[in-house]
Amino acid sequence: MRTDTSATPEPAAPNPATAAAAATEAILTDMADGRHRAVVVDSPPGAGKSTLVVRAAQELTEGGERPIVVAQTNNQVDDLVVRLAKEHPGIAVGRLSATGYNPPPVLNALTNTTVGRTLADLAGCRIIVATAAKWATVRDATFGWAILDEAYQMRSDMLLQIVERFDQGLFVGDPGQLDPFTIVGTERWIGLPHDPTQNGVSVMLQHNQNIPVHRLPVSWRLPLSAAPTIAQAFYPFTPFTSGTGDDTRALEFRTAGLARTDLDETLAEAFTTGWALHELPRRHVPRTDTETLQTAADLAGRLLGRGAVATCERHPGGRPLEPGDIAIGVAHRDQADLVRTALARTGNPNAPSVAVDTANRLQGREFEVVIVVHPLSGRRDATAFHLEAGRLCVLASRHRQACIVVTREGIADLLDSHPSTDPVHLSVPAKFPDGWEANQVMLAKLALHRVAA
Amino acid sequence: MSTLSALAHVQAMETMQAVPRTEFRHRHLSGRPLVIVPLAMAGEAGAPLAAMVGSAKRNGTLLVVAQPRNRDQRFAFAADLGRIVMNYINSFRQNRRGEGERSRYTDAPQILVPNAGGVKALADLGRMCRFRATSGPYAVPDVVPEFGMWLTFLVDRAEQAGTSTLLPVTAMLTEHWATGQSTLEDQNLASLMAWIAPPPGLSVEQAMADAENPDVCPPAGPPTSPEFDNRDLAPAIRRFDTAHTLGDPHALAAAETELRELIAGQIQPTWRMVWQAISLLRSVPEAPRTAKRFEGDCKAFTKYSDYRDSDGPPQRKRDNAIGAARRLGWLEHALAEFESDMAFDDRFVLADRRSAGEAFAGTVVEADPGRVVTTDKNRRVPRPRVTVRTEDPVRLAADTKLISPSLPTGHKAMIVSVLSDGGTTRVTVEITGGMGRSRVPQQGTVPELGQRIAYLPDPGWRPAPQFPASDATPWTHSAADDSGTDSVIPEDAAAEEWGNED
Amino acid sequence: MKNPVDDRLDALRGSAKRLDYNARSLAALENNPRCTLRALLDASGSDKAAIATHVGHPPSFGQSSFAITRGNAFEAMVKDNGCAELLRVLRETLELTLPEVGYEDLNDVGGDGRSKQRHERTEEVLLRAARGEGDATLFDHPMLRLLIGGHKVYLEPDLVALRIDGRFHVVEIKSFPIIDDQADSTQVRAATTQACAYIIALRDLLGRAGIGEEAVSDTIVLVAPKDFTNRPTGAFVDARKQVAALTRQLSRIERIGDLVDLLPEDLTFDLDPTPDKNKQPRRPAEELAEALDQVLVTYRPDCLNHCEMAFYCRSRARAEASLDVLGPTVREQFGGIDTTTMVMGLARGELTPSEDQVEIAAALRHAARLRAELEDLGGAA
Repeated sequence: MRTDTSATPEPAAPNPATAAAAATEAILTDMADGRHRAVVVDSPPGAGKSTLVVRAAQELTEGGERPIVVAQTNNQVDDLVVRLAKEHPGIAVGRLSATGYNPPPVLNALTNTTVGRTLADLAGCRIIVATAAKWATVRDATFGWAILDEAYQMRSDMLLQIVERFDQGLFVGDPGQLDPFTIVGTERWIGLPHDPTQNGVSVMLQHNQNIPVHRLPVSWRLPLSAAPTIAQAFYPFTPFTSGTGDDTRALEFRTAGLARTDLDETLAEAFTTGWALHELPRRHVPRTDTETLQTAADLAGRLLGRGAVATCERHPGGRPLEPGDIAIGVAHRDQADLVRTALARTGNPNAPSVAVDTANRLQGREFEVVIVVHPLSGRRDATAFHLEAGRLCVLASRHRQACIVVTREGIADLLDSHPSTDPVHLSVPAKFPDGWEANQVMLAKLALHRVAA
Repeated sequence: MSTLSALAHVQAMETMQAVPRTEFRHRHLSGRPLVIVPLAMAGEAGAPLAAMVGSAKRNGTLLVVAQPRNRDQRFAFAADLGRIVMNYINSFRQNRRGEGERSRYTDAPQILVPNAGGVKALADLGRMCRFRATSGPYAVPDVVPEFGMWLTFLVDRAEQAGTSTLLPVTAMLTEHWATGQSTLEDQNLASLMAWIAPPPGLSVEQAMADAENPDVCPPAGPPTSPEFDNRDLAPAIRRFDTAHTLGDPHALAAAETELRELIAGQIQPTWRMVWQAISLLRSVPEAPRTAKRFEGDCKAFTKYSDYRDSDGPPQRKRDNAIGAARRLGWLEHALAEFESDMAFDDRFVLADRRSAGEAFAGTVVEADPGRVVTTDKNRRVPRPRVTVRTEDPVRLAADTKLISPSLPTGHKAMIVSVLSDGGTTRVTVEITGGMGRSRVPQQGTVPELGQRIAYLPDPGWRPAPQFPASDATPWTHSAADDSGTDSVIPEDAAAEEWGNED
Repeated sequence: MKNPVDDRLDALRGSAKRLDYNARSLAALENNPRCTLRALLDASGSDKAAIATHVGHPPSFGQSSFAITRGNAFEAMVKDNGCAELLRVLRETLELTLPEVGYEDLNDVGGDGRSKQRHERTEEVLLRAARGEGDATLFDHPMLRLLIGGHKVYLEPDLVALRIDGRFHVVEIKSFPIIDDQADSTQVRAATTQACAYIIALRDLLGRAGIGEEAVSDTIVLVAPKDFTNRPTGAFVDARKQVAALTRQLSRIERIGDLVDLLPEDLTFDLDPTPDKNKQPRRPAEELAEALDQVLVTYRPDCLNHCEMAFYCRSRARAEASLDVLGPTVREQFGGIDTTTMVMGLARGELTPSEDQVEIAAALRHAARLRAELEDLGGAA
């Protein structure tokens, strides 16, 4: 059984599917209503953002529009192109790309897609998809509608470069993930409604009254064990529910654990409750600490070695977990490199195929089991980077089945003694959720699933 | 921060001596920089108290505002300082080279202040002056708004990485030296100098203690020390005010002299120290690519100079949407370029990047110099590959584009693979550019077996972002009722009221 | 009714008069919540400045009379004529709708200036207002009370409590300028910390009468000079995070008992002042320093901006060759290593790393090799 006792249960929602469908209808209705220049959709993790993008694009096409889709990375663009083309074989989809782009094989195999360097190459396409950076190079073309995916990760200055390409926009994104950032340290734009370092959605909303802001109410990804905690920690003012019931998802091993009792205990906790906190002895260490990173890799190796079977609504009969179903999430790129090396050392031949990446690059992705190296593990001080709510949110909300957090003991003390010295600015609303608070909520939850190594 | 940089600080702390962290000085240092040491009155922004200004150590002019709360005296001060600074700036608006679009001045002004607070003081002064009217009820001398606009130009330019038209000397010093104290203490010019060049006969410890004692080392400003304010300055200003009220010319002259002497005592130690810092910095050789960046300064100076000649309006109070986005683009570009330039030029900076795994150096252990591939366009091109063995903790991934300071300019390469091999790492790279035009690479353009080479990531070329025209802010970045509030000249420009003179 | 912890704290302070928390000690608390010495000195109400001075490290937190004069003059100007200028700012700049304005000065209670009496009067007036009785909108100089570590601390704000739409707002009047809608963030931060203490105290006051905390807004109204003029302008400061942060840090002070338990029985920071009005400390400075040395300090360079003890703690950190001297950014590179001696020893390969130092030692030796390479090739001057 997996229920979350730390958070107040949501009032009994109607059927999640009904609620989600109603939200989608309301969004499409607002788009059809000619009065709105923009429609914003906030989507918590795994709430069917891509489904909505595909659906909206198709509806627009049906209405005679020739919409464009703007995503932030080439991977996101490829994923969207594949989904659009597969779900709507009758619609010609164009993929606008830069020179040097190599389409993945799955995209090449589709018959209703065209890859082009310029708009002229894609003249026959009803939907054109590209990264924001690519759209920024397009001139002298205007479309009726743009669908902007992962819009909260797009900086306001990027929006400014592409906004003349469309009349109306559907802005879709997850406000809880990582904010865009700049390496330039300047205070000169703080407090301006058009601060170019802010995300495009916030800036657009600042300048336009009465823009409808919708919210997708159901996370189809997060299991019942995770949705309430994630909602409480990272979406304190906009709760959502899990789309799956009590016993829809389950993990079990095919073999008994014997060899590595420390790891097995953690895996057992994660398999039965959906969460585990694997806590290594307290120690101040550099972020490249081998023991921590190796433990994360070993957990993945052990999981694969024992053979896990996952049951869910897609596979009610169960399905063995493969390396690609598992991800290890870290804060820094050097940690990711070292975890990859550590995976090779686990001895499990499949371990190197486990996905390893930083929070930034895991945004928008989904796995069955995610192993997280806690950003604050072993640290002496918490910096704004390591405390950022969006970072932990990304890491702790990628999983469909279970999330295992690996850390050194001592995070509670570190949070407790963290100085509050963030600068305060005039007329700038405080950013929520606060990283400190969010970390506390997550830690309180994880403490219930602690396994001391 | 890299382990190497951190280690430099520890080394400084252990040896009680500053440790160089660069081989070169990466900032242009003018043959005749203009030093300004601004002092301000505590508790009041834009209430200048004094400034010492000049382009030679022996040739400093001390300007003092006897009653900083008095608006007329403030602007008289701004006009005096403005005339000196404008003379200096105008002396660079003489020699031009090039024709038409490319015509530019061959040199550019450089203003140096003691610390970051000095830049802020000039920013405030620029903001205070640039909108002032030269006629009407609150008229100021002609030079005041002109000076304000130039100061604002310099302050804006100073935000851009790698520029040299306005710099705090503390920043120049910490770019080159690591001390055994914290960043906070490094902002105190006297503390910083205590590590780099303690006064003769003093140990670093003694010099550090003196640096924090306002009676020995008056603060480098802009604020003066509270002890000085309460003990010396406040009574002296009171005596000036009294003499002023009584209209007694002798007493007034005496009071002014007293104030000047008091302030001179506070400002001169900093003045001397700034010049000492400049001569220290002069002894550090300039990095090769500094000249290229200084070209950029000359270009920006020329552009603004021509703009002033055309009587353009002052800079806005705050950036508008398109201006802000455009500026962010420049700033990011300049920072990336500057960091790359420094690592390219400077073994120390490169070592820093190596220590963080962002660059590597090692020996060529395998080479396939004759490798040729066929491109999409069916052309045969040389694509030699070499493998470098390095002890550096390389964290660069395959497909990273590289440049190298150890090979002729234009050399470009790309990482093929990074393999750990015991305690060392083997990085295989493919040379993609800088080999000349023929099918066989030119002599010396491909690393040879046994050669020691270094690589760092290529910052690459990015197209300049294209934004809508400045007067056509799109709907996402402008409110329907925005029209009136975003004008260039603030509504109260003619008379930003002065309120009561308390 | 004193508890044993209070007795211990009193003993730590010794014969000196108890000092209350103030703006600076609250800022020091926010800045360095984990420092045991600071926590003990503040909780015991010890005079940190006097202690630091006696051990030879006097603080340097002088305030210029110019700043004080300017602050007072500006505040007086804003409050002149029943807060006429303040009302103009609230109405014109901040576009608040204030129908009828009643002004009540809580500064003086029939000539009785004592804190307790003034606080009672404040309590009575504000509670009446909270219940919708009376027609006052602006309450000048309310005397608030905050319970910190079980002690009543009176806060005498130079502030005005403003009641609009059924909620109280704290109005802070400051003399640093708002230039083109921006102000120095350090100064805004300091003003916000103070205002947060008032918000918490105000909520506490109303809470005791069963009124919920939503009756006090966590948005602060900051009134300050506009640009380079004397004319006031205003801005809102969203203090939700700071209120939450200060609240939990104050709640930590309640746990001071745990810290006290770890101290030697007879430890005291008493200066043993002469009984005359000069209050010359008679305790030998070395003895006091020894007492201080028994308590753990967490020195951060930023303490120099906030804490009277900072120069003493820095000298201690320097004497121990502690990496704390260099600040957290440098320190972070060295994981669990505490001293320069250890860093250099490992870097030079003179010390054998313990099991948990193996990695950092390798990184240090690599860095040291790079350094040697650079210096061999003839480093810069």
